[in-house]
Amino acid sequence: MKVLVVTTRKKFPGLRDRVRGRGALPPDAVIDLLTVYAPASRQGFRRVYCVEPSVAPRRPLTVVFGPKPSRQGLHQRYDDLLRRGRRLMPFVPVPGVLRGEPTRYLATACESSTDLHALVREYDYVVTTDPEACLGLWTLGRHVRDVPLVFGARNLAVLVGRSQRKTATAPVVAPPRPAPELRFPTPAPASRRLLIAPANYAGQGNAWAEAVNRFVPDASAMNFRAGSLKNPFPTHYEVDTRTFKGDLAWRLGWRDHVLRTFTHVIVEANRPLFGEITGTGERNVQELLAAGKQVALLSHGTDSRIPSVHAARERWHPYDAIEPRQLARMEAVSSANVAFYHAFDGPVFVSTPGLLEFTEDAIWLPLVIDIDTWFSGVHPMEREIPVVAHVPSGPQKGSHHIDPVLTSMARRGLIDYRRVEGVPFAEMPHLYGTADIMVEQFGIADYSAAACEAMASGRVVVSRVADGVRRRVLEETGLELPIVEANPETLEEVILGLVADREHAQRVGARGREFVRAVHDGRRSAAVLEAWLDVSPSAPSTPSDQIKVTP
Amino acid sequence: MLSEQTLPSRLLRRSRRDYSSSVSAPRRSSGAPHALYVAWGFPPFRGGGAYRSLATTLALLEAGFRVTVLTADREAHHRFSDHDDSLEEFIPAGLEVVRVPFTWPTRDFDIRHWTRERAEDPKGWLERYKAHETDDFPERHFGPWRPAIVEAAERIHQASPVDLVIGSANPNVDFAVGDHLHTRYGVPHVMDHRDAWRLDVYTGTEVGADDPRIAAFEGRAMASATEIWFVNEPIRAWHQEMYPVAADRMFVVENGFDDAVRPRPQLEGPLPESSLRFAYVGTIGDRVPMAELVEGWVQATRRCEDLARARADIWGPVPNVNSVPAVILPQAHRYGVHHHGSVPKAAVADVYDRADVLLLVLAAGRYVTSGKVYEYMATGLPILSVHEPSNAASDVLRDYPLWVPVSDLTVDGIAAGLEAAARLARSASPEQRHAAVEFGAGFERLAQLRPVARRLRAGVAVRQEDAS
Repeated sequence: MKVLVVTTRKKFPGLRDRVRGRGALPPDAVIDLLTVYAPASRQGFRRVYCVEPSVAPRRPLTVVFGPKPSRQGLHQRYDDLLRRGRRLMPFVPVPGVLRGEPTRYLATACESSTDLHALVREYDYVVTTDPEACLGLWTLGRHVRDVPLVFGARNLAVLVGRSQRKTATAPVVAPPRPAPELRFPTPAPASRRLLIAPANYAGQGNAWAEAVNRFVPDASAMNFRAGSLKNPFPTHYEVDTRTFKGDLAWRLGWRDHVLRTFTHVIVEANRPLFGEITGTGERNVQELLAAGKQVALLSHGTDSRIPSVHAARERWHPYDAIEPRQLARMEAVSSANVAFYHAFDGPVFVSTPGLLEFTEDAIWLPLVIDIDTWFSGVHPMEREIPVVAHVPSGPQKGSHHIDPVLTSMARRGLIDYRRVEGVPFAEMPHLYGTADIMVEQFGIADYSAAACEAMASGRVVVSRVADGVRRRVLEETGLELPIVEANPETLEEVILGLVADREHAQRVGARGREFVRAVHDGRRSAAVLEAWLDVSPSAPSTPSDQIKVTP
Repeated sequence: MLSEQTLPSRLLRRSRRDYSSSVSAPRRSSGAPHALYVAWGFPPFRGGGAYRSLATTLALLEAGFRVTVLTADREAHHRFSDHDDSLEEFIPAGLEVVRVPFTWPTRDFDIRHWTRERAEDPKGWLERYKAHETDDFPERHFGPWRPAIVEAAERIHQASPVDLVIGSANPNVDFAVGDHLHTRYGVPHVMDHRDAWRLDVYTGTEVGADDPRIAAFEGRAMASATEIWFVNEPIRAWHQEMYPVAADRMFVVENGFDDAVRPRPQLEGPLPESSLRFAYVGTIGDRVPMAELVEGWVQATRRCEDLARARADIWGPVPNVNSVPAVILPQAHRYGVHHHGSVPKAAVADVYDRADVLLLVLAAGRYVTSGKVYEYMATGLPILSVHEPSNAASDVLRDYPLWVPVSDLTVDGIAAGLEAAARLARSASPEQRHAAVEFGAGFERLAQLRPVARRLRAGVAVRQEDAS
């Protein structure tokens, strides 16, 4: 099978692999490229053809054959063109000037270049993932028959599949990938070996595992994350979604490894941890129990916060900003999860005290924050205009209540508002450390990892926290939660109050740092987990031959 | 390819050419009542519902109706869906087929077919299209087809008055014709709900709440329908609760196996020294737990010597080449699970002939039956159910003498089921196999549809008498 990929882009990293993977092309498929700009390298394509703008008169254009035209080669080509009497235009690579021009270059070539028409007829499929190239391919369709001109790599997979079903009874499936070398990490030798998987939201699976490693004797722990997160939080072991779901050898090997290696498993957010595609983690929990493992469940938040229940209790719930279809799905999933948590005959942990409203018999497993990472030596509330930060990391933060207020205050010069988006996790400590006030959320009436991190950096945290959550924190820790209470109606007033009484605000910031050190530095969480590890039976230490597993 | 010898004679009375150009309205004719059957998915379409449509129209003809089928044009099925031109040979003689052009822009991936406006701004064009695609009918992809089929139905009715409309969904736009002719001319109509519109049969949750027009349309259609059919009791019960006003007009019209491809009864077990052969036949959708089956298979082959020598043959297309089954199956051959792709309808019987155990691997959902289960039962072979025990298919199979359900879909549960099925394949007596064949024979599709068609015919006769 021969496929010609077309793009007008100057940069197209990973394009060949995307087309091969999403297009479900067989391993022996030939994939060539037609571009407007000569790329700096072949980028994995067998051949690269260029509709070269540096030799682009209005018409006609020509095709310059790759894979990597040298300057000398291009000059040679120009000379050839000049000899044939064609008019040349200089290429002026000024950003913005050529905006829209590549589309025209390609379309003109597709209209007038018989070389290009002949070239395209050599292929079984022509595909582009670049909307700007569609006009060129549409133009090409008026001159070249029979070759499908496809927009989208996944759509190519559909057409290839249809074509194969028409012509053969052979299976229409994605090409097999070579089995990777299967090496799975193991925890340090100990009689209690804990796996926390597969969510690692906010890096907490990893943080809890590290807390066990640091503070619990004769116990070791590691976490596993299935699928890549937008923010790469620290994790002990992670596989991409494609491997998790679709690599049979990996699935079989990972299951064997977990069942052989660990004595205890915490299943996060009721998600599958053995690569299942459908349903929840319940089947895996069944399997782990049947294999004699000690199993606990852990709720992170959305998995058990039932929207209808939360909305009935919390005036500032975030659900009016969520699409009805998504909300219905959240309701169904969280209700089913809570039913499972209630029915489960074993410990259920929750990461924040607010979740105890939904799973009453659960155990609060405090979030763990790396105090040193988040430490900032910059004292808050010393600037004339305070810097107020907000991280709208998800729809449940109620950012639609927060944004207008802070934007309005910034416009009036009362604050310097920083809406933190697209910042890598590694840069967050610096960002928090240079703010004065962090407005966390108005949606969940709880306090999350972001609030803890801001407190650890000594910032003044403003948020909506339910009375029940504050009471629970006080009961369990003996400490008042040092988060300044606010809601959409009082936010401006609260911030102005903090600005007016800076000493008080600074004391709140300092208390926040002390609170995190007392509750969220890992020792309390390790103690919670140790209580569970202690009452459940232990197993022999990890044998060394389990480091490498062959299915 | 199907040969004429494999087809029952009653299905072979006209060639494809006879009806291929039947786009004009049928002639007015007296005598037999006129039934208009509306089904987007009619041969050459080969997906869900195609066989039910063929059998229903045949039953209507046998009951004394003149039947006109309103369906999509061939080109649409060739370009946008799974199709099999040989299925057109099964279209009953005497049927008028009116084909109405259908386009599916969101599935038209070949830029050559696009307008220049779309090529200039593909994403913007698609957004604008999607913003208006349900203007005529509240169903994505199919909504824009409504004006064309309603207009065609008007022409048909003017040329030869329609006495009964049967819409076969999905797509649900097929119900629009019955609703229109009933509202405008009082023509009685039947809704054949092969699936469901407001119920997600996999999750059991209500869907479509974001567009109140869906509930409004379906409520009106349900209220006016003469009969409403469902393929199993759980789906019917859900709708009876949703539409109590129509509850007494809701019936279960089960699927069944097609006599034209009736499997040969398998009355003998495998030879003691031979390896066991498991087989699956059916489309492998995204939700079919094929990966779980393979994992259970590997587990079972590790601990059961009989299964270590066995093989599983998986026959069926994988529509989504990016789905997990599509990725997993090619890797499974090294464990003895072999995927072969589609099998022609006429060759399915050969697959059953070579099998010792049939694998019924279904997506989860207490409302899911699958049409395949009836064909499986007609073989008399042991059937291993690899689906949630609460699945509606369990109700169909419960009294089948050689049924082995898995306890759950864990790897161990599936492995245990495979071992039990292997033991049953070795141990089932001829009497048990006879009993299984006999039980399965009761689910022939046409046999189930004939009384339904006769009931409709009698109803029309009563109305005609009343009118006269």
